[in-house]
Amino acid sequence: MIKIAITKGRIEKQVCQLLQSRGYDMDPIIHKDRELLIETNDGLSMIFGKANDVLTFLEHGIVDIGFVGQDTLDESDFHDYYDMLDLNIGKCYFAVAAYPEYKTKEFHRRKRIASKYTKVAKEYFNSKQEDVEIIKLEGSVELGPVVGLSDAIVDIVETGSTLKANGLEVIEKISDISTKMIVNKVSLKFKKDEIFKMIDRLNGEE
Amino acid sequence: MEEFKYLIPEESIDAIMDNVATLRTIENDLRQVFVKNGYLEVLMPSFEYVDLYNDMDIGIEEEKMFQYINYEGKRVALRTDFTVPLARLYSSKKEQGEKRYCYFGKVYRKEKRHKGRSSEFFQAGVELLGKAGYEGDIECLQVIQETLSSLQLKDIKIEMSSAKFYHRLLKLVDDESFVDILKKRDLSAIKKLIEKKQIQSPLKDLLIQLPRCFGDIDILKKMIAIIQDEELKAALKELENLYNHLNNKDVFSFDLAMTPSMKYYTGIMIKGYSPYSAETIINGGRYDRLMNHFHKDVPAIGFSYDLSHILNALEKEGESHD
Repeated sequence: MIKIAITKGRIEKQVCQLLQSRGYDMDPIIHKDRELLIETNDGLSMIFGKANDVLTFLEHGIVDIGFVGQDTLDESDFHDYYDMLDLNIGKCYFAVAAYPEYKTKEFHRRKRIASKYTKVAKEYFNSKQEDVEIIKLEGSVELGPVVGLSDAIVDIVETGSTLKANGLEVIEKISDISTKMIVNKVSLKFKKDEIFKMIDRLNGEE
Repeated sequence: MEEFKYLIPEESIDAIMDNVATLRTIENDLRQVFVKNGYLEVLMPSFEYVDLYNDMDIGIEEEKMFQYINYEGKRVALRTDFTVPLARLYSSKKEQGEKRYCYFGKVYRKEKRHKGRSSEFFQAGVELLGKAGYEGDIECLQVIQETLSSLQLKDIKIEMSSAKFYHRLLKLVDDESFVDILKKRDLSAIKKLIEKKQIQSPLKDLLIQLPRCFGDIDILKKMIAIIQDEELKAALKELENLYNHLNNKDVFSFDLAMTPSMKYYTGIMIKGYSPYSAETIINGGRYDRLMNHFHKDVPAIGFSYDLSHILNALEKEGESHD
């Protein structure tokens, strides 16, 4: 029995589709109601949670495998897992975005950056040797510049349509994001065959 | 402030009540094996200079230490590990030749809040200073072997690997990103790296296989047969030779993709696992260059038991049989 935690929402849909296309029986998942723990006919036990919680479950060995976005991994302080497979789905990227004049404007004070991903934002500006003030917003981060709280934002960009609708644009791309399969280190040792079987199937090598 | 009468700070572990007897039994059993093998128990101080740890650059993050500034204006930390202070002890006592130390006590490392982790752990362990190469390695492995029943856990796995193998591999691949890729066993990133650097066979084949190169002696033998690079092969042959001289072979296995958990490892690396612990329960390795920081050339090897993880694993193992 392999235990799996999947990030609820978009990642859940895409991962389940992928698993189904690789021959896993996903009917119990597709037809689930409000259950949070489901066992499939292939001997997979699946739970669904918020992205950060997927990492927490994996950290404590509650699950063997987690499906989670690179954005969550980048923002987390926990790194003691195997990050084995890039599923090449859920692709998007981290970027700095602002009004176009940000590029030419001279700042005589620290820039203010709004982001849900404060760690990613901080590391990015550190790498540029720029001292900025970071303000955490929990959602609709685009509001930062729109309401005049911040000069720019660091956020996930998928199509860029929300940015555009609010007059913002991508100033610089930071890094790529996609959905990853991560594995608990001890689980890999005790469930080697089962876990690699799944990896090979996901890779299309079986 | 009334409520503080009843609380402990988040960093604390809960008082151990039910498991004290188990913990002390395990400690005593370990102590007997250590002492029988000539290891001297040392009670180490709780405070060390932060600079002692920092100068060695061993990979303990500074923000994980509990620090304060003492009367000299120097930063002092609660003990974050035993190996470094014991190396200091060996050096400051002007010891020479072989020395065997063992220790029992807590180490302190700050953990993130609300993650279900505490910041103090019980450890036990040994350090064997002044005994090089095969003789030192086999002695330590035999001590580990003797202690396994003391841990009371079923299904323990002891994995061995070689820092020589690892360092040679880094040299062959010659790419900064490879350290993290290997640490994460990132199959997708390995493929990209091979393309980016135009890595050719046989190194290419080895890299593709590496993340799954762990398991029993057959894996090791297979890799020795395939690998052509002399240094890599030699490192693996050393492991094979050690294995051949062990009695309780079933618990030992190999992981060629193991990365050093401490920067200072130079030879064999050891990790112990239980299916009931999400973290390693035994950690160790050979660190022949650590003593260079004290301007000494003394080979050394040591390993530690994470007794807090072992206690948790025992509890879980018990539940799973109920």
